[in-house]
Amino acid sequence: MSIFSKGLSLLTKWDKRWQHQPLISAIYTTYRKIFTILVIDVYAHIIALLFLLPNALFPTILDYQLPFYTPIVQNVVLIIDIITMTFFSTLLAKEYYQRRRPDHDATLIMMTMFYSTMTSFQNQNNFNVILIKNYFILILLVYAVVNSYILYQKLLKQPQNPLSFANIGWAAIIITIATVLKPFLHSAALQATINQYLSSSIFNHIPAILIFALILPLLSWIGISIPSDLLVSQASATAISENLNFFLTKHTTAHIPYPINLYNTFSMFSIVGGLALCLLLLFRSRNIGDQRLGQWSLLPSLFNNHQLLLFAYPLLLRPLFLIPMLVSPVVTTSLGYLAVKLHVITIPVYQVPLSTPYLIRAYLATNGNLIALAVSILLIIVSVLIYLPFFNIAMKSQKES
Amino acid sequence: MVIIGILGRSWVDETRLNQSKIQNSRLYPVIFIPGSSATVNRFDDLFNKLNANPNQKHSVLKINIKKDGQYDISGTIRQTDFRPFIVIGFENNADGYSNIKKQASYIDDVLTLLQNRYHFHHFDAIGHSNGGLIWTRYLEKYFNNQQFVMNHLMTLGTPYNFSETSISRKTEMLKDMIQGRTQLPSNLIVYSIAGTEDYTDDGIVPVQSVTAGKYIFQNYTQKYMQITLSGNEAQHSNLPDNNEVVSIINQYILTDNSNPRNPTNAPK
Repeated sequence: MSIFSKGLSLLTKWDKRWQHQPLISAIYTTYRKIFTILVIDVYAHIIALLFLLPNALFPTILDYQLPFYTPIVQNVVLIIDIITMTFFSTLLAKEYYQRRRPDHDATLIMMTMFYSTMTSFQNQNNFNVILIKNYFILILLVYAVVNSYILYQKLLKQPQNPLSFANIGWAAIIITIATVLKPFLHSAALQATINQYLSSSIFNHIPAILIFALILPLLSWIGISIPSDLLVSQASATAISENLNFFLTKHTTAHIPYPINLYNTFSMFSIVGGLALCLLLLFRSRNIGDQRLGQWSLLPSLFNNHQLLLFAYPLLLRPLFLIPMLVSPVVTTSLGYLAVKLHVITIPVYQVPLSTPYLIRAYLATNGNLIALAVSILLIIVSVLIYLPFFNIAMKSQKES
Repeated sequence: MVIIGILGRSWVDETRLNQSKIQNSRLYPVIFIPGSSATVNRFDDLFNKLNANPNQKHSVLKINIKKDGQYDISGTIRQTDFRPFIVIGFENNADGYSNIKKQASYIDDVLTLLQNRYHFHHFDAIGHSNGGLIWTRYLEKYFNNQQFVMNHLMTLGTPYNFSETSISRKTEMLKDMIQGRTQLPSNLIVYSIAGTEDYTDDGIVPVQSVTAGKYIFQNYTQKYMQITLSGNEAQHSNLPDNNEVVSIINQYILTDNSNPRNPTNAPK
């Protein structure tokens, strides 16, 4: 047995054991229960980013503006986000508590979590909810709340009515703590720190780009979803602009000011992993549930929204899929970089509209280079191959269970 | 996917030549011109007040135009700052209509240079005293709406009729500006702020001279708003750092993102 097989076998065992941990099992069950709301949330984002917002894909390429007032669209999406996350935290608290204390009433825990989540989201700016969907913080919050409740029950020594004064007092303390912590959770300092790092010219060098390609999926894996498009366009604004100006005036990419940047490598060629898994679900899985998930995820995955797969398959916090999630963007970004470096394709200099599917990004950014399209297709195949062994293991253990 | 590919390709092709500007227009600077006798540091106190909010730090770039038209640049525009402040000052900062004419032509050159370097399409303008006159002259004589979009112009204690206290005595400059008002961009929003130390002037500029701006802008721009400030801080030289002015700039200029491609208007 090769080291790779041994490693995979060990990982599989660990993955199975991990999935049976009370918190992890509760997370996966909760996501399955809120699947419909997740679908609505993901599709609301997709519809807004494709059709409704001023710089959405279709309004941009067709040059139209719907008579919608942008803040209305943003607020509707924001409300759906908040509903989804509140449902998640409330149900997760119930599932987790019932795994820890099977015969106990979870009403108070659910109510406490519901109000704590709502309090945490109240009056916050759009950045935190829409840009960063932070399920990680919610999971930590549920973990802390449930365990504090269990500890409190132990301290009380005698069983209490869930809505007794003693228990209501505990709930009030938790909600107060959530209110006090709110400014720290939504601190603009996070945005400022991200901006500071992104403005660094370090992201015009391949080692930093590959680290970026590792960190972003790692954050997704633990439940912090950040849309890469906005980060990349922020980090590479100068590079994109100066490269384009250079190209338009000199009509060549030789001696272009920023031959390598996040936009023309990471943004063009990475994160096709979600799409790869979606294709595997559609064409390789015989499980009807998986195929249904693949069908629902196909459209969002094409437009770089992998949240359905992340939460419903699930990939989130799952050791088995950490490796392909990290390896796929790094390998595809590196291959894309090599393709540019070795002049297999011209340097992508044109900016593509927001939410352009990954499949045709490089093709459009090179203004119609068919080899760039072929490279993108090839990279999806590479990504499928990276995911395949892990997907097979997951299918096998699914059958066994 | 094929449809998006075809439409997307067509869009990239169509916007190929304009894409630079589309890119660049993410940057939406506020450009300041100080009055006569003042240097590029004239607005430093104002910037300190505007930058007091740690979440809204604006980077500052200063351009000092020398007597021969050459220039010195100091400061930088932070890469992630889409609302930087740019100050354009003059070594020859003497008063007088002939100098204002010359300075306006320099502004045209410097803006083109700034656009080539920093790639922006939209900007807002603020002028203190004669700085407002330079902006007005520039708008009437040099402004090209294919090249730029100026969304807001704010003038602080600008003497549109120099030191004349009566509109019945129009200076040559005011006459020229009234004549040239048809060239003003119709989408421009103008705020003219007057200070009144007493009932007649801000210590230097007569209120009537500031309010004469209405004969230039009213009905020729999208909006013209006259604001009069009073009190100790309303003295002509204090106007740029007057707390009311800081609030007005925050309210009318910095929180109004009329640039459609400004990231604060982008989808979240």
